[in-house]
Amino acid sequence: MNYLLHLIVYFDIYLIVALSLNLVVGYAGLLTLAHAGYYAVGAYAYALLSVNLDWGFVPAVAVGILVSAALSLAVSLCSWRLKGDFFVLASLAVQALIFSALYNWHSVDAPLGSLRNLTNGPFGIVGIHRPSLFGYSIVSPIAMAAFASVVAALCALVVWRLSDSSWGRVLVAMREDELAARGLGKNTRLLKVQVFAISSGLVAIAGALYASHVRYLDPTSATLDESILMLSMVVVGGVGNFRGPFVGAAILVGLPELLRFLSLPDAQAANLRMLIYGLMLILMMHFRPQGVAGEYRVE
Amino acid sequence: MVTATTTAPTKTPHRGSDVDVVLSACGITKSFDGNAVLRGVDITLGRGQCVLLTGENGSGKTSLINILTGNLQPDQGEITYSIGDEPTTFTFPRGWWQELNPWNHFRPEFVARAGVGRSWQDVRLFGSLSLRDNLAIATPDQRSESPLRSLFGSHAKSEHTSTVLDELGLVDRDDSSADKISLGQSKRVAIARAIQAGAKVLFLDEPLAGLDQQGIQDVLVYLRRLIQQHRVTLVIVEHLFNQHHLLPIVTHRWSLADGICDIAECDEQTRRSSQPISSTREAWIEALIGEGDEVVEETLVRSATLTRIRTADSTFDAPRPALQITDLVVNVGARQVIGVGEDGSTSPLSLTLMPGEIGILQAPNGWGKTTLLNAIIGAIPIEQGSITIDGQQTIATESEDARASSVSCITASSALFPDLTLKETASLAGVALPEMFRGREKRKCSTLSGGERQRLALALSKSNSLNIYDEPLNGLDDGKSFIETCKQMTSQGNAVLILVPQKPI
Repeated sequence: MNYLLHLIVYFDIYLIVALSLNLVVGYAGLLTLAHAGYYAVGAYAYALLSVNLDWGFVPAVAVGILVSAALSLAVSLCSWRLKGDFFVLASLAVQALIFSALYNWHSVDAPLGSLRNLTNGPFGIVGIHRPSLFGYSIVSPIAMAAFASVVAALCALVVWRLSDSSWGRVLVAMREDELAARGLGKNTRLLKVQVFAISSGLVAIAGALYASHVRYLDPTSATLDESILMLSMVVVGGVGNFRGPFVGAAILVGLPELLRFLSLPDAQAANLRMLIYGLMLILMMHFRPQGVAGEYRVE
Repeated sequence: MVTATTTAPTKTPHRGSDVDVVLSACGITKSFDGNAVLRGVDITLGRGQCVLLTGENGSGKTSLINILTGNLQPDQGEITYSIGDEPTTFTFPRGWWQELNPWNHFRPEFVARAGVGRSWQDVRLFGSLSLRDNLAIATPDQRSESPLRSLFGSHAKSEHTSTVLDELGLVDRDDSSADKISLGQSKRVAIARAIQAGAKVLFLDEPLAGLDQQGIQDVLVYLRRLIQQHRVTLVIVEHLFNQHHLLPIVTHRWSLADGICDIAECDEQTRRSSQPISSTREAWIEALIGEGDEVVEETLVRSATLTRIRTADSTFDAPRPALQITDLVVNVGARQVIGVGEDGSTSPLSLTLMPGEIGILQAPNGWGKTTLLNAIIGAIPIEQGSITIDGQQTIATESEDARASSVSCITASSALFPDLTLKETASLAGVALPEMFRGREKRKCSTLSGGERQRLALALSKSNSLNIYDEPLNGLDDGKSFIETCKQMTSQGNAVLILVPQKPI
């Protein structure tokens, strides 16, 4: 039972990740590889504020959202002038910068959270508090699953409202033909800043959920592998509509779990998982480039 | 609202009359790689005017439109937009400090918000959005265009867009995808979209290009209504062959030559004297017909016609035709495109072209001209019948070698490699660079104007047993070079097939 509840929490976390990334990749048509960086920024913000200052879930996540949204300027400003492959490379550079900052910002003789040792580097942060709301700590697995589901539902509501609005339609117009959208008076630069800030803010919530659930955090959450996994989720599920991220998150959370039932040794199972991800991506690109439930083809 | 330099609205005397000036530009210069395209252009545009912008290929028509719509910064000069209550002036060159102000940029979105819109030759509707959304998006300053407001506000669908679509003859098509309507309809929706965005001055780049008779009439009726009912100011660039359609609504003519723009009023007398210059499509067909040539008109299915010009070099006793299409039926997806009769029943297409012959296929938009071209070159499979080129049957294949041997074709978009220089492009084609491009060998193909690109593509095409041209006159200021190319090909005993939309004569 606990295993199933744990899976639900993971599905909720990855659903938020996929929904937020779909805004940028699917609606705005900007392929970014820096998403795991912003996920980790949210996770670290929550971890530091809860461990050092005993902050509750809501204020700590609010700070995480703000920091992540502010740092998103690093990619959104690049997207003003860079397009296609060049933008992907710029986002890769931002990803590498965030990872390096998290990995190297530590000093053995300074306390965690101080200016000299903000992240504790490769040793990570242990003993992160469980989420607490109005003084009540969410401890039991079932309460955690319910809490994560409510948070995911709220995020889904936000994404649905946004994508169904004029703002969402202008995003699609920008993806289809940016020059034509600008010719209609749409400020696409502002739009890019907005969509990256919103997407990074949302994924920071997912990062905080992860940190509060696993209660340990190190810079491996911000690796390029994580960004690629997030992107695979969106590409496999399908981009450019609301249902794609649900399908993508379900497939990529569910698939490795199915492998558990094959009783393979751990070392083999991990490799097999990567093999299946790779194979899935290749097959999808060939037979259904718009993803299982998507409507727009990522070029 | 863009605020650069603001001055009180003015009524500027224009050619002896009081004209409410909406746009003025003076001393506009622009060079590309040291080649001066515009050398001090001065123009004024009055409210409700309809201007025809003319000039030869490469004279800078597109550059001027790009500059006046904020898509390109001129090297020097001053542009004033006086459409709203507050005139906005941009002076060039602009200092770097002006770029730091996020609300004062010379960019298309700011110029559009000042009331200047444009349409492109290649329509550019948002293909994956519905027609309603294409129009609704354009409405400026919508409440739910701010992400915060869209979270809490209502997302009411605009009723106004339905009315606009009804006016365009697209009744109950609100939810149709924008890539599922005809070219004529999409051109009108693109213009309506710019109007919806608040454009009071509209620049139109070849609004009649590629349209058949009905499409041209529909666009003209719509443009006339915009001028009369909405007092919209139009600046139109149009192909020489289509200019005579516009003459009844044109009030002024801007002629670009040697980087200078000459403005002339277009009165009744000018219109009459202009008539012979703006020849109809028939004129270029007449020019293709040499002395002693025989012309045969054949009627094909669904109002299409095939004009066959049998030149003195045509060889009717040749052992095999250059192109023989027998009982052809071609489907695109589930839809039958070639081989459909008037009533939708199957009516296979057959036609023959002998070596040295010129065939001009004129058909309405949506007839399937491009599908036929793709079937001939073997890019798409055929459902029924056969296509034989120079005695060899075409089989749909992905192998380039199989089809490239005896056919050469220039598609409507004259696809050149944009990042290659002119010299590289010529050497890739294995021919010398034409005279008119000498001195510009190091320029990239992407820097050429639309007409120049078409000229280069024509000049670089190799003569084969069968040569197919899809809308070859698009963007060309005159068809002379094309007509010479065709005559040269037939004199070598090769056949030419030209695909063009059907036009009123």
